[in-house]
Amino acid sequence: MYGTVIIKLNLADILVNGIHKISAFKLKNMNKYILVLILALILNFSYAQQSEGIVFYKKEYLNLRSSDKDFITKYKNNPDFIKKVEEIDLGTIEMLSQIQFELVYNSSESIFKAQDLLQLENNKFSGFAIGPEGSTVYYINQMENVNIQQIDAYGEVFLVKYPKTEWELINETKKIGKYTCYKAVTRYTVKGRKGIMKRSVEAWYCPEISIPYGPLGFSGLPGLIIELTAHNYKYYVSKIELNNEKEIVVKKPTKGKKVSKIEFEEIGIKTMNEFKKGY
Amino acid sequence: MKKIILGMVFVFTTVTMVNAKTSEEMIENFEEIVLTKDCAQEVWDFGTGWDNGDPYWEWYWTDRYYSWCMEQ
Repeated sequence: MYGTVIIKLNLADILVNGIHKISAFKLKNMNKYILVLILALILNFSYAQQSEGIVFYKKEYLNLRSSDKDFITKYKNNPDFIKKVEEIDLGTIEMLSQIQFELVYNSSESIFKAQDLLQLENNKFSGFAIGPEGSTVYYINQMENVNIQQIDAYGEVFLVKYPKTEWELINETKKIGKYTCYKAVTRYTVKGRKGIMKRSVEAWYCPEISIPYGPLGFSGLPGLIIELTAHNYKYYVSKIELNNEKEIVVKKPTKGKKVSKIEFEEIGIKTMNEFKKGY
Repeated sequence: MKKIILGMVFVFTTVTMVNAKTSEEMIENFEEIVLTKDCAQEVWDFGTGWDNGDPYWEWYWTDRYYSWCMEQ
């Protein structure tokens, strides 16, 4: 009881002294402190808004087989095959208008995949439209440095562990919609039947949107990847939903045989070589 | 009696020859069906002739084209 009184007296003392100190501030200094406080609150609010949400992406093909000169020349003696490929390309373009990809993220994880795959399965062109990269589920955990891809291939499901993406930031900007975006490039290697091949990916990220994620498991840039180009396709943002009312759950894929990138490539090479022998 | 036996041999030979011809025709038709349905070369060309050499990509396109080709 006695102790409590002492504390109360001390608090009262602090309060009185504090008021005296505050009254000693000049109005100009007060304004500075208030401004800093407001900015901190805005930044905190903005981060909270961007720390979880869903970003929707669309995909487009930059080149089509049936319009490729080399393809037409190579198969000029097989017009039936060219006709079939033309039909596939037309069906693919039509199908792509209905396909959307979603990037679901929170403060530490993200998952990227095609939306409603089951709904699209009935269409014979959906597989061509989604493509091999689009049918994969990409999981990223930045805190634990985890980069996993869940791939349904060769008659089974794999959980493939990939290394962290290393980016080269390029001093180049372009306006995409209302955002100023910056260019970044990453390079990687793929082991195939013909040996090791070098590949590159170009990303345009937006520092105004502080979400360090993007499509196809590409992440780690100081802003959301608005546009990503690789090989003959492009992914681009179609809609951003920040701070959803519903709770954002990023579910880490757990089903599948765990393999490394190299192991997965070796399985692929073996499968394709066996297929070649068989036909 | 000899005439009857000769007649039966003639009929048997004729029927065998006709049957053999029908079987050959059937085999020819069957080969045509098999060749039409056999998309293996196109499957391989479609799967491996376009993408970035990634074996998974090659398998994916091969698999998709094969399914599509079989539906035609």
